[in-house]
Amino acid sequence: MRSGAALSLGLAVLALVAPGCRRPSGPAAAGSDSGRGGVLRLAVQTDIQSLDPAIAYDTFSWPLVRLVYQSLLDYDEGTTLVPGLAERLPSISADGRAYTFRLRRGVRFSNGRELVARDFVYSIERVLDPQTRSPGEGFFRNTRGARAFQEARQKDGDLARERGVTRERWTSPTRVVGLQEIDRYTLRVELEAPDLTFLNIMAMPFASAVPREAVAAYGDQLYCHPVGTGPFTLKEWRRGTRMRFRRNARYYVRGQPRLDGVAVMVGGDSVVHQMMFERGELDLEWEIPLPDFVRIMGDPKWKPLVDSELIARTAYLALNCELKPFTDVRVRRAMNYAINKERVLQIINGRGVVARGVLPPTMPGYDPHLRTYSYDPARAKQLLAEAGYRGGFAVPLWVRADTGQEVRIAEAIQQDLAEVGIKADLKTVAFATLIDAMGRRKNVQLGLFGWSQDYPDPSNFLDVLLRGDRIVEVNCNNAAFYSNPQVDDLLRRAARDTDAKRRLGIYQQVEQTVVDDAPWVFLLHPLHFTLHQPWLRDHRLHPVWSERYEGLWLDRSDAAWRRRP
Amino acid sequence: MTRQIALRLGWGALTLLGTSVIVFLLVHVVPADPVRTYAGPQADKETLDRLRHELRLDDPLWMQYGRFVGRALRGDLGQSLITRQPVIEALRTRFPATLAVSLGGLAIWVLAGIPIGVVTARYRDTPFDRTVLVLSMVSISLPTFWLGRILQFELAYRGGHFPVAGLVSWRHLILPSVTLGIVGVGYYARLVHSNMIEVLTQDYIRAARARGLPEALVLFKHALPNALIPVITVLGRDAAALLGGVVFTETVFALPGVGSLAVQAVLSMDVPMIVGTTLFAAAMVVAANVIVDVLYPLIDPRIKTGRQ
Amino acid sequence: MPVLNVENLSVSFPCARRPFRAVDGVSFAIEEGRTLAFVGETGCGKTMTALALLRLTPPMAAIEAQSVALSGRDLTRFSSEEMRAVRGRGIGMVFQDPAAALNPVLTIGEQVMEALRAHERLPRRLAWERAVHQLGEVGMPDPARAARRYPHELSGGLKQRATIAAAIICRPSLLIADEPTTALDVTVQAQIMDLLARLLAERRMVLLLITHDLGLVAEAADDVAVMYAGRIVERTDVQALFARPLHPYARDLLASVPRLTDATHRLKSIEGTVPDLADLPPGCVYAPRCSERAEGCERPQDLEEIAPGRWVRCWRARWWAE
Repeated sequence: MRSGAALSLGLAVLALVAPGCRRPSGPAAAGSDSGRGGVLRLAVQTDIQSLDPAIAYDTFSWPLVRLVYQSLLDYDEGTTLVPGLAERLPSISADGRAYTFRLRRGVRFSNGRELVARDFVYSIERVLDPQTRSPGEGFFRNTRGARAFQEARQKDGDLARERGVTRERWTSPTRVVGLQEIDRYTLRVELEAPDLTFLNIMAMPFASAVPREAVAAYGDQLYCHPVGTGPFTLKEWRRGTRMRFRRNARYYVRGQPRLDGVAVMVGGDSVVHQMMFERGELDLEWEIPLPDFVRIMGDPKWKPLVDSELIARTAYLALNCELKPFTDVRVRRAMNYAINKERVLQIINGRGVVARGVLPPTMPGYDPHLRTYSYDPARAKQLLAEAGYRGGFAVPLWVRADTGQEVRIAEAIQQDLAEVGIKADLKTVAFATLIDAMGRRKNVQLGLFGWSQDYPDPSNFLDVLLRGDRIVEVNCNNAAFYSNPQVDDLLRRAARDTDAKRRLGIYQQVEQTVVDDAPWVFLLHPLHFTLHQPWLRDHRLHPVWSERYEGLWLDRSDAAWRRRP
Repeated sequence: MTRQIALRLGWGALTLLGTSVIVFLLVHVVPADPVRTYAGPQADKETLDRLRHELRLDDPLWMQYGRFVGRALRGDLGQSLITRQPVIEALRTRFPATLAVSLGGLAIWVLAGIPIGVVTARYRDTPFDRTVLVLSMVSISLPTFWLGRILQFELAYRGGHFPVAGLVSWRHLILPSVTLGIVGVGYYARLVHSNMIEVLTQDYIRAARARGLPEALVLFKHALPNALIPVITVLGRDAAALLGGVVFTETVFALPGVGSLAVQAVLSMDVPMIVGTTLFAAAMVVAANVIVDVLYPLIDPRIKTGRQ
Repeated sequence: MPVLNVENLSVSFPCARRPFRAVDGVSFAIEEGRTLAFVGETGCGKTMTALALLRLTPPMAAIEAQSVALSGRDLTRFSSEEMRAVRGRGIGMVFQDPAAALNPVLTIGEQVMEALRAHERLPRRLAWERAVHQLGEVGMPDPARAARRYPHELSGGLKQRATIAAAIICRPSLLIADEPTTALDVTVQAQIMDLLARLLAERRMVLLLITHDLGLVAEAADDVAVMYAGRIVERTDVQALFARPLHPYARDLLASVPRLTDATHRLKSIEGTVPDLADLPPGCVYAPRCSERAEGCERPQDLEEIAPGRWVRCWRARWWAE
């Protein structure tokens, strides 16, 4: 996903208690009360958009959605898929097109009803339904019968509008053929074509179980009246002010969650949150603000409580391959040689690693030996001269305005480019404007951009961002408008490949080609730093969900706890 | 009296209408696409076009505006593009925080500024008066944002005497109110001061003293009410500005008020909310003017309230 | 014992850029039942004298006096709190412009009764009744309603009646009226003067009338003091002054009043201008303008009683008096 992530303005601080697929690890203080209870206090800068799992799609929302809703699959502490609401990993047919899931029994929604296989049929159909306007519907289009279903529902909607009546199902088909309820607890999904990312998709919050009666009851208010199987329920949401989650009494895992609740304060910037945290008014600081970073790292009181993790994100400069001067690969390569990426990293206090290519290091298929560009301004100038730009050129550099960090990175880049004769003028715009502008064809030549993974699979970067056959006129994700038919071909093949190892090999091959073609300047992968209070135990970061707590708990016997305000 | 109020309200309605036109136009001139905001960054072209059509954002501007006015008159200001929450609802739930902070600030202006103005007028050109003058100038020059941060940093963060931010208890209102208060108290002290000085030169003050009234009575019963008459207008105008949203203070202290709502709306290109918060601020100004007009005759009997 | 006995009262402004005396060595007395008028041109110090009695001079003024005795009590020895008790109660004052002297935001009744409440601590209701009664006594039509009115709702004459009521409600022994009719219409002037005369007759109160209107002096006053440049130049009873003014200034003053009977008479004015108080000539202050100027006028002149009850500040006057 593009928006949000560590570098952006508002970052969610969140507590997530793991669904009970794992037995609670870590020792609970024997027999004492201190291992249970307490309310985790967090802060976000702005409200999330929605708690409806079909709608929510950014770094803020997902962790909060996952407090309330669950999917069939989840991840362990790393990027390995494990069962969630499913009893075990699904069985897969020989042609790789059909997946059979067996549900756990005795799981209840917060409204008391037991979870059954039909709920997943309903939930996924809901995501596909054009009326829901889910941003995740594309992920499920590969299900057999999905397209026909979507067209039919679209027609229903149009008819309903014309006739001015509420929708009914006039048009067939009214079901997605590939979503099948075999029996009460067994779900079978058939795909149009094999897809090794399907299981990752089924782990996404889009594939959460949503009870039909809740949708019927709340309608378009479902986004703030969530009903799920997760360890928490939403007690209160005062928009712009706070959210309160309370332990789900009906949660199917005994003894979980350990927390009584989660309180999320909405509003305030990162500096204020940092102050609140240090005074003990918050339990967790999602992202240590830049001005405080050095001080915190040098403070023996706080340093031990810092956790850091590589975010699965790549920051890059998109070079528009359809517009001069970046139509010439030599110029693009020159850009890569011209920029001192180590120095750029210093701008953000070294909080990250330099990018070699497209994929972040946590991604399966990451190649640490990728042949890439070093910092070589002489080489850059040579290449520019070869391409006919001995005197350099001028080009606007688009960058988002709302986080000081991006602008500073852009300024460092600007300086490096000036050294080789390239005059890059910064054009600061609002984030939404940036997305819009860079998504338009033949519009922006040079922009500072980034992408965070939706799930840990190389296709989530390469297919989404670099396929020539997916270029559209507006809202294009391929901001470099890069088109290499060979690459497209390889990617198409890899998408259908059922051999995991061979598939990753293809992706690595693709990545090397892309690096050689240099549609981007590959900048860095940010490191994510969180800070937690001493009484917050067992805090770990997660490579996919970012924040997720296996056995997180508040130790109220901690001396520091008793001193807190 | 009622005729006057009716007239005032009429002008107020026109003001609101004019404001709404300007805001509406401005918002539609800005480049970012609200439909994109509504649909999320992942939506493709078909979805966006469909949405645009559904939301009727492809209608001509004047038609959209007409619809907007029609609904507004029925109390419906539309829904937030981001949260789908009715704008009226958002304004209603966020207003109390702004109101609380504004009242706190206003209280300081009035309860501290007025007595200081009175006393410095009485003892003008004394060292006390001169000190207060300097402090008043300092207070007027202080930027709200800066002062708020300083107070927050020193008294809440370093000193731990107050909570840092948010609005959980009444204690959270202290620092923001004090910030607002300090920034404005100097102005009111000077205003009352200069009005008082002028009033104290009047004959009726001398006449009151000649009747042997205690000085305090002369100051507060005779002089002050006259000095306050022009202050009421200013206070009304300032109160309106506050109630429309105390943006800086709310931002620094993370208060869930109308000001921070407006900021969030602008940053996320939430068109209906932007229009709503702006209109709300304009409505506050109109309301304040009406209230001042109503109060005036009560304070100054010379103002004719109707036919003599 | 005179109701008011002032000896050697001066009001100076020592801190002004050019220090001066607005009132210099003024002495006078008002006996029971008598009215004293202070007469002089604008700026001669008559108002300042009156304010000095009440200690209501501007903050930078310095008051000095040998004694200021009100019914025998020397006010110069009074603390400011004791002085406050005198204002409005021992001495009442009526000012020139009644519109300016009344607070526009308070009712007439409020302003009339507040001296009563301040000095005698009467409860509101009682004080209000007394105020209404007082308003009736000063000739206010429908006093109960008038008391609830605001100053801007009354005419000039009625306003002045109200200020008089406010000044006398505590039954002071001395009433000072500073140009009480100057701001009023001619017809109303007469009414107000009649009112004052009636009040004086009905109460044990003396009047210090400050005016530049000689006609008023002739009608209303028993005694008169003529002031020039901050000092009294002639002090005597009214008939004596009008019959035969002795001080050249008094003479010139009386001569300059236009007479209706003398249609052909050219208007006589006094040559020269009022002197700059910060830069007074040594000797007689009137000398520069005096038509009788002679040697010996460069010496400072004292106020001397050249005949019983006739005080003149001119060494040549003695000579004319004979």
